[in-house]
Amino acid sequence: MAETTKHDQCAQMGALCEHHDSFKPFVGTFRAEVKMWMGPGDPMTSSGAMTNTLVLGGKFLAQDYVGDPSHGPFGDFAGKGFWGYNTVDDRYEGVWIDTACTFMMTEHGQREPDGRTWTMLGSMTNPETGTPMRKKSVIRLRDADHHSMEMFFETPDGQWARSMHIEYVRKR
Amino acid sequence: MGCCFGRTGVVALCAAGIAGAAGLGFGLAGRHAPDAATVRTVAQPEDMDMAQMMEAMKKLGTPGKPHEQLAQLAGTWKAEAKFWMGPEPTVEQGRCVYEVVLGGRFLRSHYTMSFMGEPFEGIGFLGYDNLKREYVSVWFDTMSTGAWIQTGHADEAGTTITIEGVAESPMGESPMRNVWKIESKDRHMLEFHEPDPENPGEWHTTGVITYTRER
Repeated sequence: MAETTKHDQCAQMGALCEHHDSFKPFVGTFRAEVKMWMGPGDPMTSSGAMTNTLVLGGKFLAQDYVGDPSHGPFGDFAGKGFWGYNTVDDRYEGVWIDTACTFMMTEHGQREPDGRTWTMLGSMTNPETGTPMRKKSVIRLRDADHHSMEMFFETPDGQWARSMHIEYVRKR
Repeated sequence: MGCCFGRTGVVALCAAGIAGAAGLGFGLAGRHAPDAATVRTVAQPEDMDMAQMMEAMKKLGTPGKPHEQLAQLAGTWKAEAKFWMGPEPTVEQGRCVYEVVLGGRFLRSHYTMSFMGEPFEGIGFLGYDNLKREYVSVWFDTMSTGAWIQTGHADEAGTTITIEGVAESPMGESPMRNVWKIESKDRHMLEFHEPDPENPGEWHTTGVITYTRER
């Protein structure tokens, strides 16, 4: 009896739910137009390509970003991410690593009732103070060919500072 | 204080959320408060030498000795997985491909085997965070919808790496500890430990995967 329960619980832990269907419009290769705010005036711009694939039986969206050397200063930039929905904790989870840093960024959040907006919260270590600093990503799905991601960091006075905006357009 | 948030901003930008093009040390001058009061760009340092800061950030993002050691595991491995879920262990044969990714910063593992008659597949990343000075690991597999995150440290030689995290399941949360033991360039082990229910405060081994290099 106990074993059966355990087995059922494990099955539940690995089972897909409707949230995993959310990843489908993101599957494919997208051109990325990136704006980064790093100082006064206009943002820095760069481009790249993001290839998203469903892996591990549709449980995760694996993201593969490659910078475009012909536009912007980050031509040799690359990043990898995983986006999933954890059915035990009932939340979306994201992990991101890239060539600019050696650490790993994690975040978790929920899909808004509109079904096409996700707000993900995470934290990273402030290298100056060694204390955690919050970050926020907002992902907006416009349609199967267009989505965007905005990223914010929490300032010491508790405001969200926008640092990045990426528009993704499906490549044909 | 002047440079405090500026440097953070640089790292923050270079870490680049769920999908970012990132860079080092460009946010280095002035303050900016554009359209909305709640949306501001990252504040900038006024009193730190720009070249110094860029150099520091670059160093922080550069792979070092721990990364080089992990990179030596790159290749294809035969994996024998032994797990104790009852009195007798189950033994399964699998295969694992390790690949160095993101300019030497992470070791990606792709694990495949048949587990209790079902196909099993997992993907993991193992790296070393220069900022926190600790190993970082994330693991995803076909048996769970969660991201398994662990952090930890190595012994002086860098050949025994112990990482810990919290296992979450419908049964609740429990600590988990994995230990990598790198015996040679052609053989290493990954041990799985959890708190021993019969001996509070002690850990016991629940499984071990022995990796033998194929190529």
